[in-house]
Amino acid sequence: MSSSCLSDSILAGMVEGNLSDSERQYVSEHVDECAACRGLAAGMVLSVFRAGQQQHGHPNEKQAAVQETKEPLPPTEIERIGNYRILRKIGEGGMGEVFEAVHEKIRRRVAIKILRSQYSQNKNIVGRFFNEALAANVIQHQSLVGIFEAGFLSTGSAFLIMEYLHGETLFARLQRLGPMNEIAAYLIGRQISSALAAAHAQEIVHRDLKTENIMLIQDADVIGGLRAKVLDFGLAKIAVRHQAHAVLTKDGLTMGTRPYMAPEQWLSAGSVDSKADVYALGVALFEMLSGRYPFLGPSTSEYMNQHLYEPPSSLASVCTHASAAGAALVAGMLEKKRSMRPSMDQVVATIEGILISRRVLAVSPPELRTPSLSAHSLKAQADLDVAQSFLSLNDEDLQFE
Amino acid sequence: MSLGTLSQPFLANLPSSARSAWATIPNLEHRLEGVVAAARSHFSELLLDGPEFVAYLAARWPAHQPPDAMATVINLGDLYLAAACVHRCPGAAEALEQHCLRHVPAILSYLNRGSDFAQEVQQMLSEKLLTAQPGEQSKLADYEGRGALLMWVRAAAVRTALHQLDKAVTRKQVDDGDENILRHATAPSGSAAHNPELAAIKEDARPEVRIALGDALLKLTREQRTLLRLYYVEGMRVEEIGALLKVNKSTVSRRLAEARAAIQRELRKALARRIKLTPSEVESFVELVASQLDISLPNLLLSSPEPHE
Repeated sequence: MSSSCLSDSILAGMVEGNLSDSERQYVSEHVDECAACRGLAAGMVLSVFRAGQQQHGHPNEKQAAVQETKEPLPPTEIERIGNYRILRKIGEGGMGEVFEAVHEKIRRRVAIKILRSQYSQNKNIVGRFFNEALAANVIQHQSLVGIFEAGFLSTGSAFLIMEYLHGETLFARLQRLGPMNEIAAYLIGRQISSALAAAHAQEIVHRDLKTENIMLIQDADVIGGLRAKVLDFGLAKIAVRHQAHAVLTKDGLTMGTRPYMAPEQWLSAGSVDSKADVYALGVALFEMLSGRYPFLGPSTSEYMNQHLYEPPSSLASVCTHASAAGAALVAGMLEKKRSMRPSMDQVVATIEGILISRRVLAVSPPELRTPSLSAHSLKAQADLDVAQSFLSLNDEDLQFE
Repeated sequence: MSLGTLSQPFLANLPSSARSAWATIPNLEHRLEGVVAAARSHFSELLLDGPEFVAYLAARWPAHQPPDAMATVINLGDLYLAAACVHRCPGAAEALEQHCLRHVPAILSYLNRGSDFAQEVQQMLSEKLLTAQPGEQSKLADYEGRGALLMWVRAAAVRTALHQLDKAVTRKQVDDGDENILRHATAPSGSAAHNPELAAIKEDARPEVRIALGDALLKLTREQRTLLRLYYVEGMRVEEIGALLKVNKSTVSRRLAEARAAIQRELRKALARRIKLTPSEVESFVELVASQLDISLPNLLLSSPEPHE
């Protein structure tokens, strides 16, 4: 590369449109002569023009590219919503876009999620979109995203104003740093399970829990320094429809994300209850501790077969540092039959038990805690649940046997 | 005149030609405090010393710009992030990851190489940008605050990705370069299949066709060759080429059509010289070769040397 080849600053300026006339002239002359810079200049333009045409899945997935023509937001650039001034776009998905904004008077920084206009006329989709706000405010948990306002823009697009989170997803962190040690994993797992237990208490089921839906934020007030936030409550069922892992039902609605989908979710999307979240969290814990999923697919039919019929890899076989109690908990959460899985309250209590035994948490007065379950009592509880469910067998359960 | 804690390192690190313009600014210390505060407001969790930041900024100040262009010329927040990374502030690498590097897979999605490739590039880029060779600053120090850091990282990502792909492609081309070109340029298909006689001529004339096409390419103007390369080799659409060359897309279409017509014209002349055919045979033959330009041009454009007139 000669010194006169195009620098990264010039290439960036070229697509940002802030080159001087003489620089622009130089670029067009140089790309005529230099094949390497021609490729780079073309690459920059293609990268900007064709951004987001292909979704990227988990690295151990060879996904087929899902091409989707997106209807852009109305051309009228939105500059403000109420007292909030839009600063920049921070994300884009199949359903809409997310912007960073700031309150002009009190300087509060927020994220504003705007649903694409083509979806904003669909009552079901808008209903679910606002459900997220409803769920967050009904459940009221520090590991859920705060949502302050919801409504429609003059263009007809629905929007939510929510807490601005500065951090990375659990998925990204695992990608970046690899598997976690047990204490780090359970400190995060405790926050997620506690948020989900609060949701389940309000009869709200997430249905699409996965490491990409968990945000980690630096927070010195939390043991371990990372605050976990569970994202996409209520919206989850449709928000992932464009993602590589998402499995669609006939009407195009998602029923989950393949590596995380509980057996019953594969058979019938409608019957999913809180135990599906327990299963998905089991998968996430497995992934946090070992860096891989318990089932590896990779095709949809292979995933289905594995989730339905094959025993998961044992955590101990892929994660040498897993404790016996942790391995038993995860195995219990990944039980095929939902009645065999612990409830989310029991998961919280068991994780707290593990953290107490590792002296990470202090022992709290027993009356303040849900009874902690040892691996043994977990099994006993499961036996009881089996007996109960035997008395009330339904069609859907029979499909498993 | 005594200098403040910010003015001193700032002036000391400015390009010498810019120093006099800055030194006369009233309240320079106060203004620089404002600059530091503005920069820090974007990444308040990163604690880079004010004097260190203004020295970093001064070293990258474009000498020909007047001081009052500060706000419009330099992207202060992004430069602050870069400076914090170069100075290895705690949390800076994470902020860079969050702000820029995590977008690398999306940036490279146009290449359709899958997520393994994108993540490999992301990893390489992260090392390249953040790791310093002994006695040097890391690559991120090259970012001067002009435009968005994310766009600069985009350029670095595209460069790294193409470099990676190049390594793989060069190996392959050495292996099967010429054969491939010949096969493509002269493969019978379409109308040739209906005309066995022409196909047979074409089979016999392989080397001639190839040379004639190569000659025809050399007769084009440099701009025409560039246009054909962008279209056939880089796979850009006309509106994308328009964005690159700053002309509208109908102009691009017209110039492309002209370039293709020019190739046919040159091809006709070259073939008439090289192969003994009646004029009408030449005509159908050129048509046949032209119908396969889409297949044969990319390879020829890749391999034909740049003329040095």
